[in-house]
Amino acid sequence: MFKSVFLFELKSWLRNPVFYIYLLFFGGLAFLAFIGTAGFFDPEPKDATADYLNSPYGINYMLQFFNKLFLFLLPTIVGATIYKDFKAHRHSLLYSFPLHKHSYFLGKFLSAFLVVVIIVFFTYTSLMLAEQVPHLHNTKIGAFNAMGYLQSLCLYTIPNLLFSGLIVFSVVAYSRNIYAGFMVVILMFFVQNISENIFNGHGFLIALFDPLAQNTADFITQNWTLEDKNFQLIPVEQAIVYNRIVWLTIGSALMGYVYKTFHFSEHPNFNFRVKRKFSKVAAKSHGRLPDLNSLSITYNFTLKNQFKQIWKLSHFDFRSIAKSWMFYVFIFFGIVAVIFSIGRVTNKEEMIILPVTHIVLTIPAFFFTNIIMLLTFMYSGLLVHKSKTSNMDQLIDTTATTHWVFLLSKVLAIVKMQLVLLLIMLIAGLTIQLYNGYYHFELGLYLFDLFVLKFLGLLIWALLSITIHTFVRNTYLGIFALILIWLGGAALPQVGIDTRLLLFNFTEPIPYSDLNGYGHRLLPYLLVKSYWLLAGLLLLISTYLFWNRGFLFSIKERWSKAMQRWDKRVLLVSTVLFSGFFLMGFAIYKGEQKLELATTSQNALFENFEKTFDKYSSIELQPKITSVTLNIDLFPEESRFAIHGDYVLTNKTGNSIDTLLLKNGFDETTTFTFDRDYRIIDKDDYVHFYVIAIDPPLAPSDSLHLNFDMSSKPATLFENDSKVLGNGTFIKNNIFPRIGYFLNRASKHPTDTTARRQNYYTQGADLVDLKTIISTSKDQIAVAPGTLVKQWKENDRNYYEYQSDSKIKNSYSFNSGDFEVVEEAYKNTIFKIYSHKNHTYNVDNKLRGLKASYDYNTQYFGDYLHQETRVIEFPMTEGSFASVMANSIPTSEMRFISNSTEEKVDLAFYTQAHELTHHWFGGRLIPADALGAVLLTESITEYISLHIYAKEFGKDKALEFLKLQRERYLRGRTQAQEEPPLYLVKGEEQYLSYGKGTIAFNTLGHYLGKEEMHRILRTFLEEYSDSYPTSTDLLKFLKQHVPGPLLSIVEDYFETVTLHEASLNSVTFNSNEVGLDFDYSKFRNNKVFTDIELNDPIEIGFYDDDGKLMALETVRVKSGNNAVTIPLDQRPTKVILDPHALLIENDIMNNTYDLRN
Amino acid sequence: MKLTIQHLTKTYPNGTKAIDHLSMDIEKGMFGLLGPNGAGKSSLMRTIATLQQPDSGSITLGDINVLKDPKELRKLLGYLPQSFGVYSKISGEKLLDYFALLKGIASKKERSMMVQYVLELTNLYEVRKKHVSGYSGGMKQRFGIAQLLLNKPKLIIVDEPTAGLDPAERNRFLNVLREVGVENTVIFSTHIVEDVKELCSDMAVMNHGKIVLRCTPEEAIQQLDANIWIKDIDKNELTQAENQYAVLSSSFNADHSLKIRVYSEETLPGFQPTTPHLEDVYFIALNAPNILHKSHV
Repeated sequence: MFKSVFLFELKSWLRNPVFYIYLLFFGGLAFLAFIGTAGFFDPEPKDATADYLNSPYGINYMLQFFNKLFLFLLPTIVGATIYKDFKAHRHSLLYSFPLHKHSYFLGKFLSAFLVVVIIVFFTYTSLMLAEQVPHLHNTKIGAFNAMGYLQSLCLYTIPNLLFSGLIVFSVVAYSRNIYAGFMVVILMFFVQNISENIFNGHGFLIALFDPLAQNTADFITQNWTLEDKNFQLIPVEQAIVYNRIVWLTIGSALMGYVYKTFHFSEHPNFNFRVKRKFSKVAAKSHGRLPDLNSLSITYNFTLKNQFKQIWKLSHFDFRSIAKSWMFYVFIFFGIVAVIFSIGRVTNKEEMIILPVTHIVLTIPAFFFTNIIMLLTFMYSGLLVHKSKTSNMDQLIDTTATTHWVFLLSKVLAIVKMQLVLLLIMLIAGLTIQLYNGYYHFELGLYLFDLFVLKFLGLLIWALLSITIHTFVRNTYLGIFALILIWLGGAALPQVGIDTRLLLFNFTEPIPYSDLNGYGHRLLPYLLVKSYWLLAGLLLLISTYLFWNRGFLFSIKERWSKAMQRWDKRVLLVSTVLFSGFFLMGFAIYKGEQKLELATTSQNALFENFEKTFDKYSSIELQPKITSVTLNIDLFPEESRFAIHGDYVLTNKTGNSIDTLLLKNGFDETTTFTFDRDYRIIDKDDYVHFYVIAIDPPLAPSDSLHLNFDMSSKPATLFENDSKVLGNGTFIKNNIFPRIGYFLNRASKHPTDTTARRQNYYTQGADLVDLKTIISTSKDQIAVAPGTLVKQWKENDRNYYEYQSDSKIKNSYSFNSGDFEVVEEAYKNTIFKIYSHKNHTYNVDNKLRGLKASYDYNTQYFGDYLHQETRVIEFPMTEGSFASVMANSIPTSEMRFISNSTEEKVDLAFYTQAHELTHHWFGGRLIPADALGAVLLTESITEYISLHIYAKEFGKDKALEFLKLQRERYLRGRTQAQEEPPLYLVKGEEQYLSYGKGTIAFNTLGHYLGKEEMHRILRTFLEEYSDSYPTSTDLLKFLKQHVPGPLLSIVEDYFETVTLHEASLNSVTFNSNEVGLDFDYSKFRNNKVFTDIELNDPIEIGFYDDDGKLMALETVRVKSGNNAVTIPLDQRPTKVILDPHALLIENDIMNNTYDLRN
Repeated sequence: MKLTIQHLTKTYPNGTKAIDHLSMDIEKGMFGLLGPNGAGKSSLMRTIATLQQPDSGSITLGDINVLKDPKELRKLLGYLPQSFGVYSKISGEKLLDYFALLKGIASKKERSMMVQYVLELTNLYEVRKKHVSGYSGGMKQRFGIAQLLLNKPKLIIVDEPTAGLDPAERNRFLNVLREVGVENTVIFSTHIVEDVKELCSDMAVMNHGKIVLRCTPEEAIQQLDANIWIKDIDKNELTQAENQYAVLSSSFNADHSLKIRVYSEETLPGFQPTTPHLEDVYFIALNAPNILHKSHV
């Protein structure tokens, strides 16, 4: 019996063309996705690092996408296999056969599951074949590794599908509702998402409860370096084994329950409502009723009434959605998901930010809208097929209601559903804000973002859904097709289709800033959405033409019926829609034409420049900029600026200079002249690079003037590279003319003496005088470095004149915005904070940070030189960083909305303390233009900030901060291709300069003593106040000042890549001493450090019942097993190796020993 | 209003000729369309009800060209298909309101008035708050009548409405139908001859997509006067009798002997003359060539 059910099902699937559609689709998608990602369609990039797609890790990663997609096969195949019996009302017939329940259940399930497995196999095979395709990039394809595939298949994909399949099958069998199967799949995503948020920070739990095991693989490989990812097999660890056990148990238990309660009966044993029984009412003969025709009833189908009909019918349909229990389940999970998602959007790398409205509104972008979309796919299918499914179509189709009324009422019903869900999102958002004590409600922003921006995209999906379901009469296939269009659309750019004209419902991300709103991206967003909306409406017309009404027996009939419906009105409407569609398409096309050249041709042009102009790189003797005068006019409402500038260039070399190298701003149009004769010998128009002969040559100590005029790049539809924003403009001087050959900067080894000719920050200048006259619109304040000398109004615009109060680096910025200014005079300076009027949350903390930093640094490192210090907010669209430019500290909006009560680290305080410290390390101590420069600025600054932080908030808080730095380093090195030692750190390697740098200075400072460490740093600062030091200068200096036993720290932390591993095996206590047994090892460049004659210091902390530190001992340890005894007169409760995070360890879980167990 | 069908033809993609050059006029009153299963009745009904397209031919109701202007016909049409389902979890009253809306009653008050009226007319008023999906077969068929009346139809098409109803339900249903049929054109398809006898003023018999008989029930029966004979035979003799005579039907007696009804224009020895039934008309119409041939033996 089992065999016949199994074979019957299997055969019926193999005969079903849908099966082959799935097969082709999955195989094709896998193949294209693989070769697309492997660069089949792009030229091979130069010097790319190896990042293999076909390594076990790569395969697992790529399959994460397919594992999600495979899930949708379950309702369409496994769910459908049992549902079709209910649907065809065959169950009443079928159930009367002498069929065993287990044969029926098992036969059905296993056959359908086998069909799914066949599709999975086919997909895997496609990937393996795709690997063999020629012309894939070498950096993407490593050696074929069958184990990688096998492991992903057996440990991830198949178990995923097995227990999900069991759940889908059980739920469909129980509820006899096909949509319930889709619901299960969506709930799987919910579970994944919600567990990620609930267990945030507990990697193992997230790994355990992820039904797709995606987080499980991530958990297992969390500390993997690129090398590991390219070659290692993902180990079979506890996390994955337990995860599979948990989910298979859930799946089997559910199946078992349903199997037990399942009856071959007519009616589902599942009903939320208590069935209302009613006694049959005997037909009473009624009294003589008036004649039907005597009733005065008006029938009309006027246009107005048809619209009324649409409204009422849509309501009828909407109610049928809103009344279903499934809908409530979704809403419930949706709200839960939103509430738990908040942590995710407010956690930005190292900072936690406030739930401001536009941040809360990013939740739907990654989650809630997807749910609304899936519901749209499902319910539009349900509505389109509703009359046919319930067999009421003949009654409905013979009423005089027109097709378009039916069609539009269904669209409207879906729209109503979307609006209700968006409204729920709004309410959930407000609730989150309330709950978090954030009371600045921006209802207008909520409404616009949800009901205009998000809704437009959803509406377009609704139109497509109705269309697809009308044409594809198989509901499952329809839903599946929609999901494919949705997910597959994301893959199109991989195969080279990247125009907004072809990517369905293209969504341009529009980041929001309180300062600048949606900025220039709003208009193109609306344009692209309108274009697709019109496309959707055109689709709707085709749907109207092919609307299923009555019985149509052939494609020919459908076609002729459609032709009948194609009348003048349809023609007119289509023409109007199409004209709009065409015009918008044209506008988009024109806008895209103006976009930057494709990256590949950009690269080609740049490579060409490098080749042709490399000959000038040897010209190193150039005059330096010594004085800068600027006239800057900003026009925020026109997105443009006009700048006139004057440089004084002085020959500081001993030779006369006859050739100047000049590099102008890449996006801007710059014209220039000199105050003596000059001739352009060579130039590159793409890079804006000029080689200029001057006559007469510039004698030593002589100066000349360079005059320039710059205008910004005009903003186009899709791009605003003018750098001028509506509000919150932030312009840096790197767009101004630069002197000298500009490539290969900061790449010299610190021992290369030529590196000392210029500083790390600026090209072709040492310190300069700066004078700026800057103007902006009448409602904005413009800020430049220096002291404000004068301020006036002219032509209805604001003018400001600034003059530097001491010489500054040739690295500065200009800001303009509608700011609120808070100022506080403190000791010898004035602190001013320029921010958006609502961003007052952190102003006090920022001031505190500035003052604490001022006090600390003036105590240890010398005077502060500026009369005024300005913290100026810039929009988060321009970055999330803060930096220091002379006496300006431009600080991202993100750091103005940080949530100082929630954070581990008070970021507002810390940011400002850190930036002000740069006045000394970065401003006074200016490193040479070589590798390792940031060790002298960022690492030292971060180390000092740690101390400022400890002074303000206590040592425990500072320890938290230090641990974060360790995490940052360990996480960062997993992404790095090759990790240099700290003294050769590059500017962009922040995991090293900040993360490792802090630990390095802190550990050394810990053993040296804080005062001594600070004294060494101050001496170094003073010694190099007139020249540009390198990291090797610092190392030399440290070695001179550090006592012998601590030199190993300099070597381990600064000069090499060294990691530690300590694990505490056992602790014993008897009367007055503690015995410890622990292992210690040291790794250098990923290899065990072979020198066993180690004598490294390690700290051991002893804690009492309350977690208070009882004693702290430092012992010297050797490699391997160590046993030490330490006198202690009281029994400790807990012992921790290296409690102050002085070592760099991947695994710190094994450092703690609890004596209570 | 007069319904005129001319040269109507429909062949399905699988080759079945469902309607075969069919022409006929139907006047006001109850019109019975008799025919066995598969005769093409439903195809014809659905074609008239604008649910499907013929390959050729024309249908007009009064001035309305049904095929060209289906919407105009739908305004006047009340249609009850052979089988239908309803949306789940919705009460009779609400569902009728929905249909009233579809049928163009814009005013809420009027919809409610009309719904009350048809509920009472079809005797469903008591159960108006119950889910239609829980109605019994007869109630559901009456609900079908209720919905078709909502637009005061001039042309009512009911396709095999009494199939599966118990006698009491069937009676109630026919009563309702009779009540609404007087003023309008009602096409009533069935394979149950009794229905037509009780209800129709005009009728046709359809087979293989063609009209094989067209007359009033009285006329038909009259024509057979003195041509129907009965005889009790043993059941083993049936084959022989069938070969010999034009046997219209047979039925068992209480003593397990068979009573056969035979058509003959001449007196048959051993047979008793009997009053013709409409059923006889039906069988003769269906098997016309065969029977006429045998009756002359």
